Amino acid sequence: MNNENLQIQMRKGVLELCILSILAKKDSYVPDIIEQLKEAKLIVVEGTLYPLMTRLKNEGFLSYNWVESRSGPPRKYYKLTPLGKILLKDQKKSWDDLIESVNMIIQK
Amino acid sequence: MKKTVNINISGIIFHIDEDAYDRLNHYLSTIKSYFTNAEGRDEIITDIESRISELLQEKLDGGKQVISIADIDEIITVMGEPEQIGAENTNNTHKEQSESEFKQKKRLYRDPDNKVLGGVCSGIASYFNTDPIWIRIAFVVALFLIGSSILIYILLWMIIPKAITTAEKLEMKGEPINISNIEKSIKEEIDGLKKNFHNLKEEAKETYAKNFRKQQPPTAAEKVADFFLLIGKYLIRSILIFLGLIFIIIGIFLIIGFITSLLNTNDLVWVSSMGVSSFSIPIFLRLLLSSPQQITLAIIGLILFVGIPLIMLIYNGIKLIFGYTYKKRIIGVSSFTLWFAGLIICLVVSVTILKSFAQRATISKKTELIQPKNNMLKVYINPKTIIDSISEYENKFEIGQWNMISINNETFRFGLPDLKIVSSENNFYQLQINYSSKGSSKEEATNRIQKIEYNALQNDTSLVLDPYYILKGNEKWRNQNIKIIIKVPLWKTIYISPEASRLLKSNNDNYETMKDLAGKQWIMTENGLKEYMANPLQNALDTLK
Repeated sequence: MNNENLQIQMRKGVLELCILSILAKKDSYVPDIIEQLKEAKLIVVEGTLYPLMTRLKNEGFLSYNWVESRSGPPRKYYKLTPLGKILLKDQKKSWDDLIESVNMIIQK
Repeated sequence: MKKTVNINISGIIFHIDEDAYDRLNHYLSTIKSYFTNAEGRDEIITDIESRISELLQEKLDGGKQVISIADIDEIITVMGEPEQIGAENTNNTHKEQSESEFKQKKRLYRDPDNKVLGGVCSGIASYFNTDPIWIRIAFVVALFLIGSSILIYILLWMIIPKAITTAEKLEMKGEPINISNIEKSIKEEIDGLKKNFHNLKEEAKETYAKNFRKQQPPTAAEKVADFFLLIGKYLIRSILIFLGLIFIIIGIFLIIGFITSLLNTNDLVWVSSMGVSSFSIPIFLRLLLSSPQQITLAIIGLILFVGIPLIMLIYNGIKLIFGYTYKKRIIGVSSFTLWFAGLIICLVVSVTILKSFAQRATISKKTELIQPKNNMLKVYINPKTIIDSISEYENKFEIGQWNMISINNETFRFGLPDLKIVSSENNFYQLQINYSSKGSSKEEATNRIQKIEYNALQNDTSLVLDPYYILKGNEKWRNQNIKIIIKVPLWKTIYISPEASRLLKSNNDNYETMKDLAGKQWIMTENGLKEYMANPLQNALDTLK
């Protein structure tokens, strides 16, 4: 139980970094992002992403374009803003630093 | 066969089974409830809705026409449970969380997990941060001191909402409601690593906020405005609490008064010393109404018509004090309906009462008095009556001239007669007594007159009057009246004892005040009564004036 919880929390912590990384490669629609996260076994449900995307957008790290869809309502394609790119770079560095620190302790 | 409904999600129309619709509706509203405080809530919901719409569209691509409950379940699996979606939100908005922690206030709820009866005491204890046992002891002690504390308990039970959801339970304990806290209250564990990740992220974000979004600190004017806004809010809040207290105090006093006057069936009807009065509604109604059914009806009408506004007064007082903003339509509508029914009943009863006062009958009895030799008639009050002096009785009930006194557990219904002294049309002293009563018809009124008991006796030169008239048996009150008219021939005199003078109406035409008349000898002149002087010349002069 405790271990499972730890895993969930760890995944959540790096989710933002993952989304930013995915968007750095290609402008994406939320289900596309989910697809990639699922492949990496990072996220289970789709709904979790919407609040996160909206918040990142409101904080100025993301922007979006409307794209017409054949099946259903128009889709929001998100992309990184310059601010988002800087955030990504910084988070990547934090992540690397953290991995390094943690590894250092674990492998001692 | 199933009933379907049409729904519109993100501008696309779907046919959907009713049960599936219910599930979807519940799902969306639960999600909404997790984002009540979140910024961009509408956008999040819109995004989720349009994605659902898209997924539904995919379901229908295979030639299916109607969305079933299984489809909705599948979509919920894909999108995730509201808890999961909501949890993501709070974990990533740490700042908002701490802000709402600061604003969090306590609410009074009933505590269902820790109850003996209705959880009122434990709820109050949570509110004041004490052990419920003290509140319970206080209630039990109050029960022995004042019996009505059980009423207060029941009232509180009705008014205070029960803490059902986890959010309400947290609110009851004064802990901030947010998803993480709800989680905490369920799991009671905090993950340290999560915090570390957060701190890293927050640090990164703050660096960027500093570099790229130069936020202006609030100006002095804004700070002052905020301060006054805060003061204003507290002021309004305290005024509301004060109003609520006044509502409750007035309400409780009136309700206690109302209930005691309903339950009071003692013979003592009207206790009026120092302005504190108690009043028996049943006895009062028994005087006016003839059948027991009518009395019961009138009491039910009064309970609804008077009691409901009083309960609503207390109810709203408590709502004001604890800042409940919920509105229960059912309470408003049902209490108004009951009150209105009470109003109708009271009107019907009032009409019945008015009808029984519709007609008046008067009977006049004339007696020639034995003419006193010395041309002076003395008027006294009968001293051998049960009630010596009405003013001595504090517990008396008055309607106009009509009184009720209880002596030795026996009720006397009696009235004070009017005494009038006029000039006689002939040379004789005469006594005339007018009996009158009201009734629904002339005959009824006349019958009621027969039940008035009043005596006026003459012995030698004096006329002895009863100080009051009595209603025989269980006679109803129909404004029964007695007028005593003493006719005095011209130039003959009358003496009125101080006790008898109390029956004189002070606003009567011929003489000045009853005070002047009391205990003196008076002479009937062409201009009415004058004080009698032993010197006849003086009398003549007075007359000329």
